[in-house]
Amino acid sequence: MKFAPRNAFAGDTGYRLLPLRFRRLPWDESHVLITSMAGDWLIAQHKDLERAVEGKLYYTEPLFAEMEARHLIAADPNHSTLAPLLSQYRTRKSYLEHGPSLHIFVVSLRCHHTCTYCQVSRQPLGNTIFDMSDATAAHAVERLFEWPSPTLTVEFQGGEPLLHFARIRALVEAIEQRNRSEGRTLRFVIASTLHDLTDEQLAFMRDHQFELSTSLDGPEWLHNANRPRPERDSYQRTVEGIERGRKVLGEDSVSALTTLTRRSLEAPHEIIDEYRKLGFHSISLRPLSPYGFARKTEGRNGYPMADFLQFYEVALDHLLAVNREGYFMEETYGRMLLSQLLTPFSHGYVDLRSPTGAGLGAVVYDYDGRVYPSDEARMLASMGDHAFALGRVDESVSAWLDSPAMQRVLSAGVAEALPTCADCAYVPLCGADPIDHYARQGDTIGHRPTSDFCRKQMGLFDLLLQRWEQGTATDQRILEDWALRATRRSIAREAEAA
Amino acid sequence: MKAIEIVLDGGLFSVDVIACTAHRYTGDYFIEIVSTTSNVLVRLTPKTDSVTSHLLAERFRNDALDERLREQIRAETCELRTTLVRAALQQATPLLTAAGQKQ
Repeated sequence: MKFAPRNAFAGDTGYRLLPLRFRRLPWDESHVLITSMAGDWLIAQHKDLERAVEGKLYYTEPLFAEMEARHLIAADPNHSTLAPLLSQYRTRKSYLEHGPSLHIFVVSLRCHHTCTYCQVSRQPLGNTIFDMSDATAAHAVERLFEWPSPTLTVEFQGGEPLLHFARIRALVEAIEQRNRSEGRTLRFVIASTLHDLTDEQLAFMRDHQFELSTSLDGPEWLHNANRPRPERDSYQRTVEGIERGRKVLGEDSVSALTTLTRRSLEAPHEIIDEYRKLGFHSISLRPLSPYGFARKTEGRNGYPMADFLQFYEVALDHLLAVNREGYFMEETYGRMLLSQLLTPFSHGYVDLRSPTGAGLGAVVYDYDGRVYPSDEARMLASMGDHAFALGRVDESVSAWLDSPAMQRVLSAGVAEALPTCADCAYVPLCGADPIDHYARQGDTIGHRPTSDFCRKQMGLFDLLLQRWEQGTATDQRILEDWALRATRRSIAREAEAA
Repeated sequence: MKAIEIVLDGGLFSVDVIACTAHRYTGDYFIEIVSTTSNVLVRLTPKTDSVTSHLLAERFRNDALDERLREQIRAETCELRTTLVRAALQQATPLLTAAGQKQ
């Protein structure tokens, strides 16, 4: 005989269970999602999971091989190794290696809008005391280069950052000057309404390869209702800004995101169709956050998370239909969650990290010299709660990391160790958000059965998994495209689809 | 509001398993757990009138079985999980020593 019989390769036919978590599928309770510690997964019958846990799987049945391949069980140690599982886990957590790469510079709190859901408590146009000073800017640049990340994304925020463009210009020049000896990869982004964008500003942005991120809440009636200006021309000015930005910086250098108020929830199709009309291939559907003026106007603009999830389901189905028509369009948060589900890679999106992305993935340098581990922490501070201020820009990064605020964030920042999260099948793919829990529930650890963060994450993971599992081959391909774009931003493919 | 009482076999379900199960219901219910020599009594009182308690006992019992399965998995894999995480992350650079130093 040329080959030995099959059982000669099997060794001991027993197996041991590897760390795993499971969740009954809400749409089919006889089945469970089973995830490995590195986030690999499969769907199986609940009774088969029970058999597996009881040690009753036979090595000849397909489920045995599948569970072994997904690192849910390990067969005879003489014939198998755990090295691929360790490698997969390390890949999933690779964002830990370099420290924060997102650095937000708040150059001014001034703004010409009076949005009722403003999360940063903007200031009137003339209040220049809310602008970042020369000394603060100089210290912030010093601190920026104390972080070890080889890639530094510098995002300018406000208020309206264009109202203090001289500071942006000076910061960019100082950062680039310093980078001549540092050799980091730099990326500049402005989060702006894009109103009053001048040719001179655009030329500067073009020379320094800026990306623009703006807010577009949907069609004109909705955008103007959400983002009022005395002239009632916010939509028109934003669209003009988008066009001018695209012309100078390139089509793909301008992105937009939507903040959803209660009235937005009635218009999922209209919002998506507006983005398509304007030539966007990406949309961000963001629920309101409990910060700044948004908290004060919660009664008027707010809604339960269940309403957002219902909206998202309608929006997702419409987006799938748009894609089936041949127009590529993705939802950015869904894309991030799908990339967690369908790829083994880490993308470092700060809301989906465990340990938390606050202070470990992002840092905020506020206009007044205070430093925060996340934009949400700065939003809380603008409401008078400085619980998460790490320190000031004239202190060292090490002092920030040793601060009581950072210790507080870290002590509640590992999702795998949080009550309920610890047993959740989605936890290898999810993140910890202690500051959001503090803002919503007054406690960094939080209470998962009433947590809006958890409702949103679970609701979206379930929805996306269900659409993928029950979808047609075409829908699966669309969702896989989104997932892959999170780790391989394929602009060419987008252009092709257009 | 009227409380719903569920009695579970203490020989089959540990108090920890029942507490974990009950925790999942703390969004909608006030919970009381009473352990006797052979059984565990769980008393769930709806927090508001709008809470639907249809098939509550049945749901709770199923969830308790799942929680029991999780306990079995934990017992078999907990130590291994710690070992694997430690081994996997040994190569990561701790941020505290890296920050403040040039690469």
